[in-house]
Amino acid sequence: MKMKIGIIGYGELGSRLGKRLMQNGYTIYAFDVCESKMQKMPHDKVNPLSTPANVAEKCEVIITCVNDDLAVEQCILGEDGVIHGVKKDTTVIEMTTSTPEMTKNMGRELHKKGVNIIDAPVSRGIPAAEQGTLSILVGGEKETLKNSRSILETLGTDIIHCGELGTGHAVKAINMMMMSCNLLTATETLSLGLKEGLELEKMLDVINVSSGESYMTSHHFPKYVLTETYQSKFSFGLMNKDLKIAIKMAEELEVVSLMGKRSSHLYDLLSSRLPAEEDNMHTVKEIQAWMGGV
Amino acid sequence: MDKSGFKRIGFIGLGVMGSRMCERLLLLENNLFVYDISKEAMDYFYKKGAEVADSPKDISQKCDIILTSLPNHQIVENVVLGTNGMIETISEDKIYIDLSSSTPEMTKKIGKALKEKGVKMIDAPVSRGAGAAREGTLSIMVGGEESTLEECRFILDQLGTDILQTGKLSSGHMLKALNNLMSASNLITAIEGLSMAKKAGVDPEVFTQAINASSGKSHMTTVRFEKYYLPRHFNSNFSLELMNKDLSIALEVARKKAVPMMFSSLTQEIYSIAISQGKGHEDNTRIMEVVEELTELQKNSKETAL
Repeated sequence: MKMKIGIIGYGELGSRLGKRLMQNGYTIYAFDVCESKMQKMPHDKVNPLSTPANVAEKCEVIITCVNDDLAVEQCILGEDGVIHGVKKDTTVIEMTTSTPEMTKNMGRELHKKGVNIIDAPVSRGIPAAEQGTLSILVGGEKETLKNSRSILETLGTDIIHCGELGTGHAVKAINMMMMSCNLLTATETLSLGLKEGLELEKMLDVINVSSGESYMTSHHFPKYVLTETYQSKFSFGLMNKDLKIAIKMAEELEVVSLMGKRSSHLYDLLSSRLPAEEDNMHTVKEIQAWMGGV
Repeated sequence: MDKSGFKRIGFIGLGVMGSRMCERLLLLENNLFVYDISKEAMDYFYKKGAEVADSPKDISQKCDIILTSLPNHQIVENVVLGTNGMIETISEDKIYIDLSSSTPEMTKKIGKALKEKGVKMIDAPVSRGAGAAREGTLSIMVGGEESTLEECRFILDQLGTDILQTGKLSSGHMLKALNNLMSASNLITAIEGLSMAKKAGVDPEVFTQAINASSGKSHMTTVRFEKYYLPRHFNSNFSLELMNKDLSIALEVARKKAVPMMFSSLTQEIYSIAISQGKGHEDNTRIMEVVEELTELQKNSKETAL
Protein backbone atom coordinates (compact mmCIF):
# COMPACT_ATOMS: atom_id res chain seq x y z
CA MET A 1 0.00 0.00 0.00
CA LYS A 2 1.23 3.43 -0.89
CA MET A 3 1.96 6.18 1.54
CA LYS A 4 -0.62 8.44 3.20
CA ILE A 5 -0.01 12.05 2.35
CA GLY A 6 -1.61 14.99 4.14
CA ILE A 7 -2.20 18.31 2.41
CA ILE A 8 -2.71 21.42 4.49
CA GLY A 9 -4.08 24.24 2.36
CA TYR A 10 -6.45 22.90 -0.29
CA GLY A 11 -6.51 25.98 -2.54
CA GLU A 12 -5.60 26.50 -6.20
CA LEU A 13 -2.27 24.74 -5.81
CA GLY A 14 -3.01 22.31 -2.97
CA SER A 15 -6.04 20.79 -4.70
CA ARG A 16 -4.04 20.21 -7.90
CA LEU A 17 -1.21 18.60 -5.98
CA GLY A 18 -3.76 16.38 -4.22
CA LYS A 19 -5.32 15.20 -7.48
CA ARG A 20 -1.99 14.55 -9.09
CA LEU A 21 -0.75 12.50 -6.12
CA MET A 22 -3.98 10.52 -5.93
CA GLN A 23 -3.76 9.65 -9.62
CA ASN A 24 -0.39 8.16 -8.74
CA GLY A 25 -1.84 5.92 -6.07
CA TYR A 26 -1.24 7.87 -2.87
CA THR A 27 -3.98 8.17 -0.26
CA ILE A 28 -4.72 11.81 0.42
CA TYR A 29 -5.97 13.49 3.62
CA ALA A 30 -6.47 17.22 3.67
CA PHE A 31 -7.34 20.25 5.75
CA ASP A 32 -8.24 23.80 4.81
CA VAL A 33 -9.33 26.73 7.00
CA CYS A 34 -12.03 27.48 4.45
CA GLU A 35 -15.26 25.46 4.89
CA SER A 36 -16.16 25.47 1.16
CA LYS A 37 -12.84 23.90 0.32
CA MET A 38 -13.40 21.22 2.95
CA GLN A 39 -16.70 20.38 1.26
CA LYS A 40 -15.02 20.10 -2.12
CA MET A 41 -12.64 17.37 -0.93
CA PRO A 42 -14.98 14.33 -1.13
CA HIS A 43 -15.69 15.16 -4.81
CA ASP A 44 -11.97 14.85 -5.41
CA LYS A 45 -11.88 11.58 -3.40
CA VAL A 46 -9.76 13.34 -0.81
CA ASN A 47 -10.43 12.65 2.87
CA PRO A 48 -11.16 15.81 4.86
CA LEU A 49 -9.80 16.09 8.41
CA SER A 50 -10.86 18.79 10.81
CA THR A 51 -7.47 20.10 12.04
CA PRO A 52 -3.81 20.17 10.94
CA ALA A 53 -3.09 18.09 14.09
CA ASN A 54 -5.46 15.38 12.82
CA VAL A 55 -3.71 15.39 9.46
CA ALA A 56 -0.38 15.00 11.23
CA GLU A 57 -1.68 12.03 13.27
CA LYS A 58 -2.83 10.19 10.12
CA CYS A 59 -0.05 10.83 7.61
CA GLU A 60 3.59 9.93 7.06
CA VAL A 61 4.19 12.92 4.81
CA ILE A 62 2.61 16.35 5.19
CA ILE A 63 2.57 18.94 2.42
CA THR A 64 1.85 22.50 3.50
CA CYS A 65 0.82 25.00 0.85
CA VAL A 66 -0.97 27.85 2.58
CA ASN A 67 -1.22 31.58 2.00
CA ASP A 68 1.99 33.02 3.43
CA ASP A 69 4.66 32.67 6.11
CA LEU A 70 2.28 33.61 8.95
CA ALA A 71 -0.22 30.98 7.83
CA VAL A 72 2.63 28.45 7.85
CA GLU A 73 3.39 29.32 11.46
CA GLN A 74 -0.29 29.07 12.37
CA CYS A 75 -0.85 25.64 10.80
CA ILE A 76 2.31 24.15 12.25
CA LEU A 77 2.71 25.73 15.68
CA GLY A 78 -0.77 27.18 16.30
CA GLU A 79 -3.69 25.70 18.23
CA ASP A 80 -4.47 22.28 16.68
CA GLY A 81 -1.34 22.74 14.59
CA VAL A 82 0.75 19.96 13.06
CA ILE A 83 3.13 19.98 16.01
CA HIS A 84 0.38 18.70 18.31
CA GLY A 85 -0.31 15.54 16.35
CA VAL A 86 2.85 14.75 14.46
CA LYS A 87 4.74 11.48 14.91
CA LYS A 88 8.51 10.96 14.90
CA ASP A 89 10.07 10.48 11.43
CA THR A 90 7.25 12.22 9.62
CA THR A 91 8.38 14.41 6.72
CA VAL A 92 6.98 17.91 6.21
CA ILE A 93 7.27 19.30 2.66
CA GLU A 94 6.74 23.06 2.90
CA MET A 95 5.54 24.38 -0.47
CA THR A 96 4.16 27.77 0.52
CA THR A 97 5.89 30.82 -0.94
CA SER A 98 7.24 31.65 2.51
CA THR A 99 10.45 33.15 3.89
CA PRO A 100 13.69 31.29 4.76
CA GLU A 101 13.50 32.77 8.27
CA MET A 102 10.07 31.25 8.98
CA THR A 103 11.12 27.94 7.44
CA LYS A 104 14.15 27.73 9.70
CA ASN A 105 12.00 28.48 12.75
CA MET A 106 9.61 25.70 11.78
CA GLY A 107 12.57 23.40 11.23
CA ARG A 108 13.88 24.02 14.75
CA GLU A 109 10.51 23.22 16.35
CA LEU A 110 9.84 20.15 14.22
CA HIS A 111 13.34 18.72 14.70
CA LYS A 112 12.69 18.66 18.45
CA LYS A 113 9.92 16.15 17.71
CA GLY A 114 12.14 14.11 15.41
CA VAL A 115 10.32 15.39 12.33
CA ASN A 116 12.13 16.12 9.06
CA ILE A 117 11.33 19.16 6.95
CA ILE A 118 12.31 20.41 3.52
CA ASP A 119 11.16 23.60 1.85
CA ALA A 120 10.04 23.02 -1.71
CA PRO A 121 8.35 26.08 -3.26
CA VAL A 122 7.13 25.55 -6.81
CA SER A 123 6.92 27.65 -9.95
CA ARG A 124 5.38 27.57 -13.44
CA GLY A 125 1.76 27.90 -12.34
CA ILE A 126 -1.44 25.90 -12.22
CA PRO A 127 -1.24 24.12 -15.62
CA ALA A 128 2.19 22.79 -14.65
CA ALA A 129 0.78 21.60 -11.31
CA GLU A 130 -1.93 19.66 -13.17
CA GLN A 131 0.52 18.11 -15.58
CA GLY A 132 3.19 17.38 -13.00
CA THR A 133 5.72 19.60 -14.73
CA LEU A 134 6.43 22.06 -11.92
CA SER A 135 9.86 23.43 -11.16
CA ILE A 136 10.64 22.70 -7.52
CA LEU A 137 13.41 24.43 -5.56
CA VAL A 138 14.38 22.39 -2.54
CA GLY A 139 16.16 23.34 0.68
CA GLY A 140 17.05 20.90 3.46
CA GLU A 141 18.89 17.69 4.27
CA LYS A 142 19.91 15.53 1.30
CA GLU A 143 18.57 12.45 3.08
CA THR A 144 15.10 14.01 3.50
CA LEU A 145 15.06 15.07 -0.15
CA LYS A 146 16.05 11.55 -1.16
CA ASN A 147 13.15 10.09 0.82
CA SER A 148 10.70 12.59 -0.67
CA ARG A 149 12.00 12.41 -4.21
CA SER A 150 9.38 10.00 -5.56
CA ILE A 151 6.63 12.35 -4.33
CA LEU A 152 8.33 15.42 -5.77
CA GLU A 153 8.89 13.66 -9.09
CA THR A 154 5.16 13.03 -9.31
CA LEU A 155 4.66 16.79 -9.13
CA GLY A 156 7.55 18.30 -11.05
CA THR A 157 10.12 17.74 -13.76
CA ASP A 158 12.88 20.05 -12.49
CA ILE A 159 13.90 19.41 -8.91
CA ILE A 160 16.86 21.50 -7.85
CA HIS A 161 18.50 21.11 -4.45
CA CYS A 162 19.58 24.63 -3.45
CA GLY A 163 21.23 23.93 -0.10
CA GLU A 164 20.25 23.79 3.54
CA LEU A 165 16.75 24.38 4.93
CA GLY A 166 15.28 27.69 3.75
CA THR A 167 17.35 28.00 0.57
CA GLY A 168 14.48 26.81 -1.64
CA HIS A 169 12.41 29.72 -0.40
CA ALA A 170 15.37 32.07 -0.76
CA VAL A 171 16.00 31.19 -4.39
CA LYS A 172 12.29 31.31 -5.25
CA ALA A 173 11.96 34.81 -3.78
CA ILE A 174 15.11 36.00 -5.53
CA ASN A 175 13.90 34.58 -8.84
CA MET A 176 10.58 36.39 -8.55
CA MET A 177 12.37 39.61 -7.69
CA MET A 178 14.63 39.23 -10.72
CA MET A 179 11.66 38.46 -12.94
CA SER A 180 9.85 41.63 -11.87
CA CYS A 181 12.99 43.74 -12.35
CA ASN A 182 13.64 42.29 -15.80
CA LEU A 183 9.99 42.87 -16.72
CA LEU A 184 10.14 46.52 -15.66
CA THR A 185 13.44 46.98 -17.50
CA ALA A 186 12.11 45.44 -20.70
CA THR A 187 8.87 47.41 -20.46
CA GLU A 188 10.46 50.82 -20.00
CA THR A 189 13.21 50.28 -22.51
CA LEU A 190 11.10 48.80 -25.29
CA SER A 191 8.41 51.43 -24.73
CA LEU A 192 11.00 54.18 -25.11
CA GLY A 193 11.97 52.55 -28.39
CA LEU A 194 8.31 52.56 -29.47
CA LYS A 195 8.10 56.26 -28.65
CA GLU A 196 11.16 56.82 -30.82
CA GLY A 197 9.36 55.12 -33.72
CA LEU A 198 10.93 51.65 -33.57
CA GLU A 199 8.81 48.52 -34.10
CA LEU A 200 8.31 46.13 -31.19
CA GLU A 201 8.78 42.96 -33.19
CA LYS A 202 11.98 44.19 -34.79
CA MET A 203 13.34 45.35 -31.44
CA LEU A 204 12.63 41.94 -29.89
CA ASP A 205 14.30 40.14 -32.81
CA VAL A 206 17.47 42.16 -32.27
CA ILE A 207 17.47 42.24 -28.45
CA ASN A 208 16.90 38.49 -28.28
CA VAL A 209 20.18 37.80 -30.08
CA SER A 210 21.99 40.50 -28.08
CA SER A 211 23.09 41.13 -24.50
CA GLY A 212 19.82 42.76 -23.41
CA GLU A 213 17.90 39.47 -23.71
CA SER A 214 15.95 38.13 -20.75
CA TYR A 215 13.16 35.58 -20.31
CA MET A 216 10.85 38.58 -20.36
CA THR A 217 11.97 39.67 -23.85
CA SER A 218 12.30 36.16 -25.31
CA HIS A 219 9.18 34.64 -23.77
CA HIS A 220 6.75 37.06 -22.09
CA PHE A 221 6.84 39.95 -24.56
CA PRO A 222 6.37 37.82 -27.70
CA LYS A 223 3.71 35.67 -26.02
CA TYR A 224 1.68 38.23 -24.08
CA VAL A 225 2.48 41.72 -25.43
CA LEU A 226 2.98 41.21 -29.18
CA THR A 227 -0.24 39.20 -29.23
CA GLU A 228 -1.92 41.88 -27.09
CA THR A 229 -3.44 39.25 -24.80
CA TYR A 230 -1.64 40.30 -21.59
CA GLN A 231 -2.66 36.97 -20.00
CA SER A 232 0.25 35.19 -18.33
CA LYS A 233 -2.01 33.48 -15.75
CA PHE A 234 -0.04 35.10 -12.95
CA SER A 235 -1.62 37.95 -11.06
CA PHE A 236 -0.34 41.40 -10.23
CA GLY A 237 -1.19 40.77 -6.57
CA LEU A 238 0.87 37.57 -6.40
CA MET A 239 3.84 39.29 -8.03
CA ASN A 240 3.58 42.10 -5.53
CA LYS A 241 3.33 39.62 -2.66
CA ASP A 242 6.40 37.72 -3.89
CA LEU A 243 8.32 40.98 -4.19
CA LYS A 244 7.51 41.85 -0.61
CA ILE A 245 8.83 38.47 0.50
CA ALA A 246 12.09 39.12 -1.37
CA ILE A 247 12.45 42.55 0.24
CA LYS A 248 11.71 41.18 3.71
CA MET A 249 14.26 38.45 3.10
CA ALA A 250 16.90 40.92 1.91
CA GLU A 251 16.43 42.81 5.17
CA GLU A 252 16.74 39.63 7.21
CA LEU A 253 19.93 38.78 5.31
CA GLU A 254 21.21 42.34 5.80
CA VAL A 255 21.56 42.91 2.07
CA VAL A 256 20.53 46.39 0.93
CA SER A 257 18.36 45.82 -2.09
CA LEU A 258 18.72 48.28 -4.99
CA MET A 259 16.71 47.09 -7.98
CA GLY A 260 14.42 44.81 -5.98
CA LYS A 261 13.34 47.63 -3.72
CA ARG A 262 12.82 49.99 -6.64
CA SER A 263 10.68 47.34 -8.30
CA SER A 264 8.68 46.85 -5.11
CA HIS A 265 8.18 50.61 -4.86
CA LEU A 266 6.85 50.74 -8.42
CA TYR A 267 4.50 47.84 -7.70
CA ASP A 268 3.16 49.80 -4.72
CA LEU A 269 2.57 52.81 -6.95
CA LEU A 270 0.88 50.62 -9.57
CA SER A 271 -1.38 48.98 -6.99
CA SER A 272 -3.51 52.11 -6.87
CA ARG A 273 -4.27 51.52 -10.56
CA LEU A 274 -4.24 47.74 -10.87
CA PRO A 275 -6.51 45.37 -8.89
CA ALA A 276 -4.60 42.47 -7.28
CA GLU A 277 -6.45 39.89 -9.39
CA GLU A 278 -5.50 41.57 -12.70
CA ASP A 279 -2.85 39.74 -14.73
CA ASN A 280 0.71 40.82 -13.95
CA MET A 281 1.28 41.65 -17.63
CA HIS A 282 -1.04 44.64 -17.24
CA THR A 283 1.94 46.25 -15.55
CA VAL A 284 3.25 46.82 -19.09
CA LYS A 285 0.18 48.83 -20.06
CA GLU A 286 0.20 50.90 -16.88
CA ILE A 287 3.88 51.80 -17.25
CA GLN A 288 3.21 52.77 -20.86
CA ALA A 289 0.40 55.00 -19.67
CA TRP A 290 2.88 56.71 -17.32
CA MET A 291 5.13 57.22 -20.29
CA GLY A 292 2.36 59.06 -22.07
CA GLY A 293 1.18 56.12 -24.16
CA VAL A 294 3.08 54.46 -27.00
CA MET B 1 34.78 54.29 -58.72
CA ASP B 2 38.25 53.15 -59.72
CA LYS B 3 39.23 51.99 -63.23
CA SER B 4 38.23 48.37 -62.59
CA GLY B 5 34.78 49.41 -61.40
CA PHE B 6 35.36 48.91 -57.69
CA LYS B 7 33.83 51.41 -55.33
CA ARG B 8 36.35 53.45 -53.40
CA ILE B 9 36.02 53.10 -49.64
CA GLY B 10 36.96 55.87 -47.21
CA PHE B 11 37.46 55.35 -43.49
CA ILE B 12 37.65 58.10 -40.88
CA GLY B 13 38.72 57.35 -37.31
CA LEU B 14 41.55 54.86 -36.75
CA GLY B 15 41.18 54.33 -32.99
CA VAL B 16 40.90 51.05 -31.12
CA MET B 17 37.82 49.91 -33.05
CA GLY B 18 38.41 51.81 -36.30
CA SER B 19 41.92 50.50 -36.88
CA ARG B 20 40.81 46.90 -36.40
CA MET B 21 37.88 47.31 -38.75
CA CYS B 22 40.19 48.99 -41.29
CA GLU B 23 42.49 45.99 -41.23
CA ARG B 24 39.52 43.90 -42.32
CA LEU B 25 38.70 46.30 -45.15
CA LEU B 26 42.26 46.01 -46.50
CA LEU B 27 41.28 42.44 -47.41
CA LEU B 28 38.73 43.73 -49.93
CA GLU B 29 39.76 44.48 -53.51
CA ASN B 30 38.44 48.03 -53.23
CA ASN B 31 40.79 50.98 -52.85
CA LEU B 32 40.88 52.14 -49.25
CA PHE B 33 41.43 55.75 -48.19
CA VAL B 34 42.00 56.56 -44.52
CA TYR B 35 41.94 59.66 -42.39
CA ASP B 36 42.68 60.24 -38.71
CA ILE B 37 43.92 63.21 -36.68
CA SER B 38 46.91 61.02 -35.77
CA LYS B 39 49.46 60.93 -38.57
CA GLU B 40 51.03 57.88 -37.02
CA ALA B 41 47.80 55.93 -37.32
CA MET B 42 47.57 56.89 -41.01
CA ASP B 43 51.21 55.95 -41.67
CA TYR B 44 50.53 52.45 -40.41
CA PHE B 45 47.81 51.96 -42.99
CA TYR B 46 49.83 53.70 -45.72
CA LYS B 47 52.52 51.04 -45.25
CA LYS B 48 49.83 48.39 -45.62
CA GLY B 49 48.68 49.77 -48.95
CA ALA B 50 45.94 52.26 -48.08
CA GLU B 51 45.84 55.79 -49.48
CA VAL B 52 46.08 58.66 -47.05
CA ALA B 53 43.78 61.69 -47.14
CA ASP B 54 44.30 65.11 -45.58
CA SER B 55 40.82 65.86 -44.31
CA PRO B 56 37.32 64.41 -44.06
CA LYS B 57 36.34 66.47 -47.11
CA ASP B 58 39.24 64.96 -49.04
CA ILE B 59 37.89 61.49 -48.21
CA SER B 60 34.35 62.34 -49.25
CA GLN B 61 35.59 63.82 -52.51
CA LYS B 62 37.60 60.74 -53.45
CA CYS B 63 35.40 57.91 -52.14
CA ASP B 64 32.03 56.37 -52.96
CA ILE B 65 31.33 54.81 -49.59
CA ILE B 66 32.56 56.58 -46.46
CA LEU B 67 32.65 55.06 -42.98
CA THR B 68 33.28 56.77 -39.66
CA SER B 69 34.25 55.20 -36.35
CA LEU B 70 34.52 58.08 -33.90
CA PRO B 71 34.43 58.50 -30.11
CA ASN B 72 31.18 60.45 -29.76
CA HIS B 73 28.39 62.29 -31.53
CA GLN B 74 30.04 65.75 -31.33
CA ILE B 75 33.08 64.51 -33.19
CA VAL B 76 30.81 62.83 -35.72
CA GLU B 77 29.11 66.19 -36.22
CA ASN B 78 32.45 67.97 -36.73
CA VAL B 79 33.70 65.41 -39.20
CA VAL B 80 30.53 65.46 -41.28
CA LEU B 81 29.12 68.96 -40.94
CA GLY B 82 32.08 71.03 -39.61
CA THR B 83 34.84 73.00 -41.37
CA ASN B 84 36.66 70.74 -43.84
CA GLY B 85 33.90 68.26 -43.16
CA MET B 86 32.45 65.73 -45.56
CA ILE B 87 29.47 67.93 -46.32
CA GLU B 88 31.71 70.30 -48.33
CA THR B 89 32.50 67.80 -51.07
CA ILE B 90 30.16 64.84 -50.77
CA SER B 91 27.94 64.36 -53.80
CA GLU B 92 24.83 62.57 -54.95
CA ASP B 93 24.53 58.76 -54.64
CA LYS B 94 27.47 58.40 -52.31
CA ILE B 95 26.86 56.42 -49.15
CA TYR B 96 27.78 57.33 -45.60
CA ILE B 97 27.94 54.66 -42.86
CA ASP B 98 28.35 55.76 -39.24
CA LEU B 99 29.79 52.94 -37.13
CA SER B 100 30.23 55.14 -34.04
CA SER B 101 28.04 54.96 -30.92
CA SER B 102 26.40 58.25 -31.75
CA THR B 103 23.01 59.57 -30.66
CA PRO B 104 19.78 59.02 -32.62
CA GLU B 105 19.25 62.77 -32.60
CA MET B 106 22.61 63.54 -34.22
CA THR B 107 22.10 60.76 -36.74
CA LYS B 108 18.76 62.23 -37.78
CA LYS B 109 20.33 65.70 -38.10
CA ILE B 110 23.21 64.45 -40.24
CA GLY B 111 20.93 62.22 -42.27
CA LYS B 112 18.75 65.19 -43.10
CA ALA B 113 21.68 67.39 -44.16
CA LEU B 114 23.11 64.63 -46.34
CA LYS B 115 19.76 63.79 -47.90
CA GLU B 116 19.57 67.32 -49.28
CA LYS B 117 22.73 66.48 -51.21
CA GLY B 118 21.30 63.19 -52.46
CA VAL B 119 23.56 61.20 -50.16
CA LYS B 120 22.34 57.95 -48.60
CA MET B 121 23.13 57.19 -44.98
CA ILE B 122 22.87 54.23 -42.61
CA ASP B 123 23.74 54.12 -38.93
CA ALA B 124 25.55 50.94 -38.02
CA PRO B 125 26.85 50.92 -34.43
CA VAL B 126 28.88 47.83 -33.59
CA SER B 127 29.04 45.62 -30.48
CA ARG B 128 31.25 42.87 -29.04
CA GLY B 129 34.45 44.90 -28.75
CA ALA B 130 37.95 45.07 -30.22
CA GLY B 131 38.52 41.31 -30.40
CA ALA B 132 35.44 40.84 -32.56
CA ALA B 133 36.45 43.84 -34.69
CA ARG B 134 39.78 42.15 -35.45
CA GLU B 135 38.13 38.80 -36.21
CA GLY B 136 35.33 40.34 -38.26
CA THR B 137 32.72 38.89 -35.90
CA LEU B 138 31.03 42.08 -34.74
CA SER B 139 27.32 42.41 -34.20
CA ILE B 140 26.07 45.42 -36.18
CA MET B 141 22.67 47.07 -35.70
CA VAL B 142 21.70 48.83 -38.90
CA GLY B 143 19.19 51.65 -39.32
CA GLY B 144 18.26 53.10 -42.72
CA GLU B 145 16.88 52.08 -46.09
CA GLU B 146 17.13 48.40 -46.89
CA SER B 147 18.37 49.13 -50.42
CA THR B 148 21.25 51.21 -49.02
CA LEU B 149 22.14 48.40 -46.64
CA GLU B 150 22.19 45.96 -49.55
CA GLU B 151 24.54 48.25 -51.53
CA CYS B 152 27.12 48.19 -48.77
CA ARG B 153 26.46 44.77 -47.30
CA PHE B 154 29.78 43.50 -48.72
CA ILE B 155 31.54 45.93 -46.37
CA LEU B 156 29.46 45.08 -43.31
CA ASP B 157 29.89 41.35 -43.98
CA GLN B 158 33.63 41.91 -43.83
CA LEU B 159 33.26 43.48 -40.37
CA GLY B 160 30.62 41.39 -38.66
CA THR B 161 28.75 38.12 -38.57
CA ASP B 162 25.42 39.44 -37.29
CA ILE B 163 23.97 42.26 -39.37
CA LEU B 164 20.71 43.15 -37.63
CA GLN B 165 18.21 45.44 -39.31
CA THR B 166 16.54 47.73 -36.82
CA GLY B 167 14.32 50.00 -38.99
CA LYS B 168 14.60 53.56 -40.22
CA LEU B 169 17.69 55.78 -39.99
CA SER B 170 18.83 56.34 -36.36
CA SER B 171 17.11 53.18 -35.09
CA GLY B 172 20.49 51.41 -35.01
CA HIS B 173 21.88 53.96 -32.59
CA MET B 174 18.69 53.95 -30.58
CA LEU B 175 18.43 50.19 -30.26
CA LYS B 176 22.08 49.78 -29.40
CA ALA B 177 21.65 52.21 -26.51
CA LEU B 178 18.42 50.50 -25.44
CA ASN B 179 20.03 47.06 -25.59
CA ASN B 180 22.88 48.22 -23.40
CA LEU B 181 20.50 49.85 -20.95
CA MET B 182 18.64 46.55 -20.73
CA SER B 183 21.80 44.51 -20.30
CA ALA B 184 23.13 46.85 -17.59
CA SER B 185 19.83 46.80 -15.68
CA ASN B 186 19.52 43.03 -15.97
CA LEU B 187 23.13 42.73 -14.83
CA ILE B 188 22.69 44.81 -11.68
CA THR B 189 19.51 42.86 -10.94
CA ALA B 190 21.30 39.55 -11.40
CA ILE B 191 24.24 40.60 -9.22
CA GLU B 192 21.87 41.75 -6.52
CA GLY B 193 20.14 38.36 -6.72
CA LEU B 194 23.48 36.55 -6.53
CA SER B 195 24.49 38.61 -3.49
CA MET B 196 21.29 37.69 -1.70
CA ALA B 197 21.66 34.02 -2.63
CA LYS B 198 25.22 33.87 -1.29
CA LYS B 199 24.14 35.43 1.98
CA ALA B 200 21.30 32.94 2.23
CA GLY B 201 23.90 30.17 1.97
CA VAL B 202 23.20 29.12 -1.62
CA ASP B 203 26.15 28.01 -3.72
CA PRO B 204 26.60 30.48 -6.63
CA GLU B 205 26.73 27.67 -9.21
CA VAL B 206 23.56 26.08 -7.87
CA PHE B 207 21.88 29.49 -7.79
CA THR B 208 22.80 30.08 -11.42
CA GLN B 209 21.47 26.67 -12.41
CA ALA B 210 18.19 27.29 -10.55
CA ILE B 211 17.63 30.77 -12.00
CA ASN B 212 18.44 29.55 -15.50
CA ALA B 213 15.62 27.02 -15.16
CA SER B 214 13.26 29.79 -14.02
CA SER B 215 11.59 33.02 -15.07
CA GLY B 216 14.27 35.36 -13.67
CA LYS B 217 16.90 34.29 -16.19
CA SER B 218 18.56 36.64 -18.68
CA HIS B 219 21.55 36.71 -21.03
CA MET B 220 23.46 37.89 -17.95
CA THR B 221 22.73 34.71 -15.96
CA THR B 222 22.79 32.23 -18.86
CA VAL B 223 25.96 33.49 -20.59
CA ARG B 224 27.83 36.16 -18.66
CA PHE B 225 27.69 34.67 -15.15
CA GLU B 226 29.82 31.68 -16.06
CA LYS B 227 32.17 33.75 -18.21
CA TYR B 228 32.85 36.72 -15.92
CA TYR B 229 30.92 36.95 -12.68
CA LEU B 230 31.15 33.52 -11.03
CA PRO B 231 34.93 33.22 -11.57
CA ARG B 232 35.29 37.01 -11.05
CA HIS B 233 37.20 37.47 -14.30
CA PHE B 234 36.74 41.18 -14.89
CA ASN B 235 37.96 41.26 -18.49
CA SER B 236 35.13 41.89 -20.94
CA ASN B 237 37.23 44.53 -22.78
CA PHE B 238 34.46 47.11 -22.47
CA SER B 239 34.79 49.98 -20.03
CA LEU B 240 32.36 51.25 -17.42
CA GLU B 241 32.61 54.64 -19.10
CA LEU B 242 31.52 53.29 -22.49
CA MET B 243 28.55 51.53 -20.94
CA ASN B 244 27.65 54.73 -19.13
CA LYS B 245 27.78 56.59 -22.43
CA ASP B 246 25.20 54.23 -23.90
CA LEU B 247 23.01 54.58 -20.81
CA SER B 248 23.19 58.36 -21.23
CA ILE B 249 22.20 58.14 -24.89
CA ALA B 250 19.04 56.17 -24.08
CA LEU B 251 18.08 58.21 -21.02
CA GLU B 252 18.74 61.48 -22.82
CA VAL B 253 16.18 60.50 -25.45
CA ALA B 254 13.72 59.85 -22.62
CA ARG B 255 14.56 63.15 -20.91
CA LYS B 256 14.06 65.18 -24.08
CA LYS B 257 10.67 63.55 -24.62
CA ALA B 258 9.77 63.95 -20.93
CA VAL B 259 9.29 60.19 -20.66
CA PRO B 260 9.77 58.81 -17.12
CA MET B 261 12.18 55.91 -16.70
CA MET B 262 11.39 55.23 -13.07
CA PHE B 263 13.08 51.85 -12.96
CA SER B 264 16.04 51.96 -15.33
CA SER B 265 17.16 55.43 -14.28
CA LEU B 266 18.44 53.72 -11.12
CA THR B 267 20.86 51.75 -13.30
CA GLN B 268 22.57 54.93 -14.41
CA GLU B 269 22.67 56.27 -10.84
CA ILE B 270 24.65 53.17 -9.89
CA TYR B 271 26.98 53.71 -12.84
CA SER B 272 27.39 57.33 -11.75
CA ILE B 273 28.60 56.12 -8.37
CA ALA B 274 31.20 53.95 -10.09
CA ILE B 275 32.36 56.83 -12.27
CA SER B 276 32.50 59.33 -9.43
CA GLN B 277 34.75 56.84 -7.64
CA GLY B 278 37.16 57.14 -10.57
CA LYS B 279 36.39 53.71 -12.02
CA GLY B 280 35.33 54.89 -15.49
CA HIS B 281 38.32 53.35 -17.25
CA GLU B 282 37.93 50.02 -15.52
CA ASP B 283 36.20 47.05 -17.06
CA ASN B 284 32.41 47.21 -17.15
CA THR B 285 32.21 43.87 -15.31
CA ARG B 286 33.60 45.59 -12.20
CA ILE B 287 30.16 47.07 -11.68
CA MET B 288 29.77 43.82 -9.72
CA GLU B 289 32.14 45.14 -7.05
CA VAL B 290 30.35 48.48 -6.96
CA VAL B 291 27.00 46.78 -6.41
CA GLU B 292 28.47 44.46 -3.77
CA GLU B 293 30.03 47.38 -1.95
CA LEU B 294 26.77 49.32 -2.03
CA THR B 295 24.81 46.38 -0.72
CA GLU B 296 27.50 45.86 1.94
CA LEU B 297 28.09 42.31 0.94
CA GLN B 298 31.72 42.32 -0.16
CA LYS B 299 33.27 42.45 3.30
CA ASN B 300 31.26 39.44 4.42
CA SER B 301 31.46 37.43 1.27
CA LYS B 302 35.22 37.12 0.71
CA GLU B 303 35.28 33.65 2.18
CA THR B 304 32.37 32.47 0.05
CA ALA B 305 33.49 34.06 -3.22
CA LEU B 306 34.71 31.49 -5.71
